[in-house]
Amino acid sequence: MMARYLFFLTILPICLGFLLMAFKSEELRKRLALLTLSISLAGSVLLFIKPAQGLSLNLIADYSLLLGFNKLSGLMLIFNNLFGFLVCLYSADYTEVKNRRPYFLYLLSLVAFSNLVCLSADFILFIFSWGATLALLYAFLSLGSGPSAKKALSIVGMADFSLILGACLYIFVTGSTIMPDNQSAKLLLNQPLGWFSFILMLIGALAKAGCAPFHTWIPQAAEEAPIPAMAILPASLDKLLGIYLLARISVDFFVFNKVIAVILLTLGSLTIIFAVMLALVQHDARRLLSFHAVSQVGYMVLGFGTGTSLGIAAGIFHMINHTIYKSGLFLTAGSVGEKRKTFDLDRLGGLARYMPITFACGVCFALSISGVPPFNGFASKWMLYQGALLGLFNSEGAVMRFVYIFALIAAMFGSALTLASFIKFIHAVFLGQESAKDNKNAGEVSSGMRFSVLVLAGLCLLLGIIPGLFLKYFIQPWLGIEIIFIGAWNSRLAAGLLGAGILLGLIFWRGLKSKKLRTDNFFIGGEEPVFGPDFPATQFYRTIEELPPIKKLYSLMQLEALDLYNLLSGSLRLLAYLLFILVDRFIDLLTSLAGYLVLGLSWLLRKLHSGVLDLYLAWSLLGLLVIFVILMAR
Amino acid sequence: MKLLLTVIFFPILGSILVYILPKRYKAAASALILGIAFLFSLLLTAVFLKGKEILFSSHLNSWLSISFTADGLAVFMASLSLLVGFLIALYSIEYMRDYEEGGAFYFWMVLFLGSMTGLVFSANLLLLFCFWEITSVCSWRLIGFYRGEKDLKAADKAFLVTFFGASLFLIAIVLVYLNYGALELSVLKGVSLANLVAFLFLAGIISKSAQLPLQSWLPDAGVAPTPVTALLHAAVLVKIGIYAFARLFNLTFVSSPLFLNSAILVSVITIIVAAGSALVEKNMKRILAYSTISQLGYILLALALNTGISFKIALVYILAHSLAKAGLFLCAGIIEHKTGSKNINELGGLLKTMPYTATAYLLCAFSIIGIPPFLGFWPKLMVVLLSFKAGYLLAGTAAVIGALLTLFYLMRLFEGVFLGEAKIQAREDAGSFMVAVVLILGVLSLFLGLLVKLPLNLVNSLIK
Repeated sequence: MMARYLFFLTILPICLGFLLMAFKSEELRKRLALLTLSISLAGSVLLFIKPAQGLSLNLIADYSLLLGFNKLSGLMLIFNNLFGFLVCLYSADYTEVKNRRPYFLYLLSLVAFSNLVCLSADFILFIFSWGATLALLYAFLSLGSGPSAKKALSIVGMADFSLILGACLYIFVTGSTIMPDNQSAKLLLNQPLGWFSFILMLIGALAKAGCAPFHTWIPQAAEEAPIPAMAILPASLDKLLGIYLLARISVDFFVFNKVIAVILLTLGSLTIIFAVMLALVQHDARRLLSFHAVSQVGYMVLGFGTGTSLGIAAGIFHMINHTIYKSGLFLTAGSVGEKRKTFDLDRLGGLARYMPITFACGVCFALSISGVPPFNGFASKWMLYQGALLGLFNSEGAVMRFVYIFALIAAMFGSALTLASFIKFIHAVFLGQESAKDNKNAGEVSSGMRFSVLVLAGLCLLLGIIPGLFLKYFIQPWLGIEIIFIGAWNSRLAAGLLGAGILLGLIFWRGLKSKKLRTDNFFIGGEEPVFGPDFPATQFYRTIEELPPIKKLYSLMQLEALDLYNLLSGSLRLLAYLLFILVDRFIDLLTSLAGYLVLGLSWLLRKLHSGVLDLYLAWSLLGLLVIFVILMAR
Repeated sequence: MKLLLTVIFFPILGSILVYILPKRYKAAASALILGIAFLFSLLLTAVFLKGKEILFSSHLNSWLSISFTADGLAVFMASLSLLVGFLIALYSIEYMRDYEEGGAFYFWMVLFLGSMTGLVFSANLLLLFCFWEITSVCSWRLIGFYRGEKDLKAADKAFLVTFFGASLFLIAIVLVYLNYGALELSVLKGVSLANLVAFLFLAGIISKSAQLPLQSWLPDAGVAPTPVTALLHAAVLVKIGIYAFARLFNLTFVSSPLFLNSAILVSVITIIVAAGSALVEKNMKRILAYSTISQLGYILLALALNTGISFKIALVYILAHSLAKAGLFLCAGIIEHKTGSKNINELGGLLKTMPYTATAYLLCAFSIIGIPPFLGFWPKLMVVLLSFKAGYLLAGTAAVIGALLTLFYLMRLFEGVFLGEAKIQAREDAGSFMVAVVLILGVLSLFLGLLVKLPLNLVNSLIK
C-alpha cells in the first residue's frame, strides 16, 4: 500500500516547480530544484526495486485515470529523473538560462510529466501527460526564439493530435480506455480501423522521438534554443518518451506482423542514412549534433522493426545509450559554447589543451555514438546487428529478405559515416591549430557542469563494459524472456585488451614526447598549398560532397519544400482558403443577398405608398374585383 | 426565492442606476454591481448545492407566467456569465476611459448581463424569449457603439440575422403552445417534439450561437469595442444559443435521432469551416470571432450527443472557453488599444515590449487549442472520445482536425502579433488593470486544467 505513494513522489516536482517561482534568489531556486529532482530520482529507484500496485482516480462517470507500473516504465522513470537531475545541475551555471525565472519550473514539470507518461496505465492520462510535455517543449524552445518553437509546436502538435485520434480509434475498436500491457490481449491488425489506429499512433511516437520526416524542427531549434533545453528534450526525454511509446505500440498494443516490420525497417534505415549524410556537411556544432540525434533514432526504430526479442531489447538499450551520449555531447558542446561563445566549427579548434576533461568526455561520447568498443553505443549496435540477422534468418520471401539486408547495410554504413562525422567534430573543436587569441579565456567550466558530463561519460563506459548485467536487470524483466545472443563477443575481455592497448600507446607517446621533434615546411610537388599545415576539419569531406550525383542529392535534401512543416502548413492553408471562399464567403454573400432582397421588396412597397388617393382607390377596386371573381367562381 | 429574484433583478435595476449616475462613477459602479451580483449568484449556487428547491412563479395567464427556476444548469451559466462580466467590467474601466460616449456603454453592458441571468433562470418559454430579445437589442446597440457607418451596418446585420432566427424560434414557441397548451418548461418536460418544431428552435439557436449557415454576423461584429466583443461575442451572448439547446433538447423535450444527427452535422461543418476561415483572416478580432464560432461547434457537438456525461462535458467546455476566449479577446484589445491596429500584417515583434500580454495570450491560446495541462484539453478530448463512443467516427475525426487547425491559426496570430520585427512600437503599462485581468484568465485556465477535478466535481454536483 505504501508503495503507491511513491507514484506521487515522481509527480511531486510539478507542485514544487510552481512554488519555486515565488523565490527571488536564483541560488535558492537552483538548490530546491536539485533537491526535488533527487527526491524524485530516489522515489523512482525505490519504485523499481519495490514495484507498486496500480492506482485509480475517478475522473467523470465511467472514465478514470489509472496509474500503473511495469518494469519498462520503471526503467524509464529512473532515466527521466537522472537526466532531469544532471541537466538541472549543469544548467544551474549555464549563462543562457541564468535568471530565467520559469526555467526550473519548466524543467521540474517536464520531468514530472514525463514520469507521468511512463506511469499512465490508461489512454486518457497518457494523452494528458504526453501532451503536457509538448507544451513544455514549446516553453523550453521559446527561451531561445519564437519561430523555431512555433515550428516544433506545429510538427509535434500535429503528431500529438494524430496520436489522440489513433488512441481514440484504438479505444473504439477494443472498447476500453485501459492501455494493454504485455500480459493482456493485443489487437490483431485485420481491419482498416486497426491499421489507421496503428499508423496514427506510430506517427505520434516517431515525431516525438524525432524520426525523419518529422525531424525538421530539431536542427533549427538547436541553433536557437539554449543547449540545456536541447540536452533535456530532443536529446533525452523526447527520445525516451517516443521510443517508449513505440515499444508499447509494437510489443503491447498490436500483434506484430510483416507489414509493420517492413514499415519500421524502411523508416529506420532511411532515417539513419539520410540524417547522417546531412550531419556530415554541417558547420555548426549544434546542427551537427541534432542531425545525429535524428539519425540515431533510426537505429532504435530499426531494432523494433526486426520483430525479434533481441532486436527489441537492442532498441530499448540503444535508446538508453543514445540518451546518455547524446545529452553528453550536447552538454559538451554547451561547455565549449559557454567558454568560446560560438558553435561554429570553422572558428573553434585546439581546445583540448584548455579543457582536457571536457575533451576526454567528448571523445568518450563521440566513440560511443560511432559504435566503437568498448563503449555503450557499440554494445547496443552489436545487439542490433544480431537482431537484424536473426530477423533475416527467420524471414520468408525475397522482399522481406531484401528489406532486412538493406537495413543491416544501412545500420553498418550509418555507423561508419557517424564515425567520420565525429572525427570531424572532435578535430574541429578540440584538436587542430589553436587560435591562442580566442582560446585565451577558455578553461574548464564550473564543477557542477563538469560533474554532469563526467557522470554521463562514466555511464557510457560502464554500460559498454557490462551490458549483460544491465540487460539482465533492467530490460529482460520487462520482455519476460531471456535474451540469447547469436554472436560471440566478450565485452569485458575486449575492454581489458583495448585498455591495455591504450596504455601501451600512452607509454609510447610519453617516450616519443621526450625526444625533440623537428617541424619543417611541407612540399606538394612544387604546387602552392591551398591550406596551411592545419587542414580545417570542416573541409574533411568536401571531395565526397562535391561528387556530381551526391552534390545533387544534397541540394535535394536541403530543399525547404521537402520540409514536412512547409508541406503541412501549406496544405492546411490551402484547405482553409477553400473552406473560407467556397463556404464561409458564399454563405455571407447569400446573407447579404437576402438583405438586398428585403430592401428591394420594401422599395417596391414604398413605391406603392405614393400618397396619391387615386392609386389607393385603384388598388381597392382591384381587390374588390379579385374577391368578386373568387366568389363567382364558387 | 428572494435570493433568486435578487440575482436576476439586481443587475437589471443596477443598469438603470448606472444610467443615471454621473459619468465618472459609471465605470466603477458597473464593476461593483456585477461583482455583487456575482457574489449573489455564488450564494445561490451554494443554496442550490444544499439541495433546496429554488423557484419563483406567478402565473399571469395560460401562456405567460413570470416564473424562474434555479437548477444546476441555470446557476452554472449565471455564475459564469457574471464572473466573466465582472472581470470584463474591471478591464473596461481602463479601456473605455478615453471614449466620450462611455456612459451608454456601461448601461447596455449591465442590462445585458441582467437579462442574461433572467434568461437562464426563466422557466417559461415566452419569458425566455423576452429576455432573449432584450439581449439582442443590447448587442445591437453595443456593436454599433462607435456609430460609424461600418459599425452600424455590422450592428444591423447582427440584429437582423439573430432576429431572423429568433422569429423562427418564436414560431416554434407558438407551435408548442398550440400542440401542448402550455409554455411552462416543467409541464413540457419529457414531451416528444415534432421534427419541424425542433428545427425551428434550432434555427434560433444557431443564429444566436453563430453556427453555420447563420454565422456571418459574428466576425463582422468585431467592430465593437473590445470589452463588448469579449463579453458578448466570446464569453456570454453566443452561449445563449448553446444554453437554449441544453435547456430545450437535453433537459426538457425528447427529440428524434434525425434532429440530433442534423445538429451534429451542423456542429461538425461549423468546426471545420470556421477554423479554416480563421486561418485565412488577417484581422485579429475576426480571427478570434471565427475561433469562437468553431469552438461553439464543439459545445454543440457535445450537447447533440445527448448523453448525461456529454452534457456535463459541454458545461466544462463552456467554462474553459469562456475564460480562455475572453482572455484572448482582451489581449487583442490591449494590443489594439496600444498600437491602434488590428491587422496582423501591420503588427509584429510585441513580445519584447509586451511580455505579460504575450504570456497571457499563450496561456489562453493553449487552452483553446486543447493542449494539456490546460483546462481546454479535458473537454475537447472528452468530446472526441464520446463522439467515437457514440459511433460518430467522422465527427470525432473532424473535431481533431479542427483542433489542429486551431493550433495553426492561433499560433499564426501569435507569430503575426508578437514575433518578428516590430512595425508599430508599443509598451504595456506596468501595473495595468487590463494586463492583470488577462493574466488572471490565463492562469485560471492553467490551474483549472491541472486541478481538473475541481470543475468536474462542481459540474457533477450541479447536474444530477
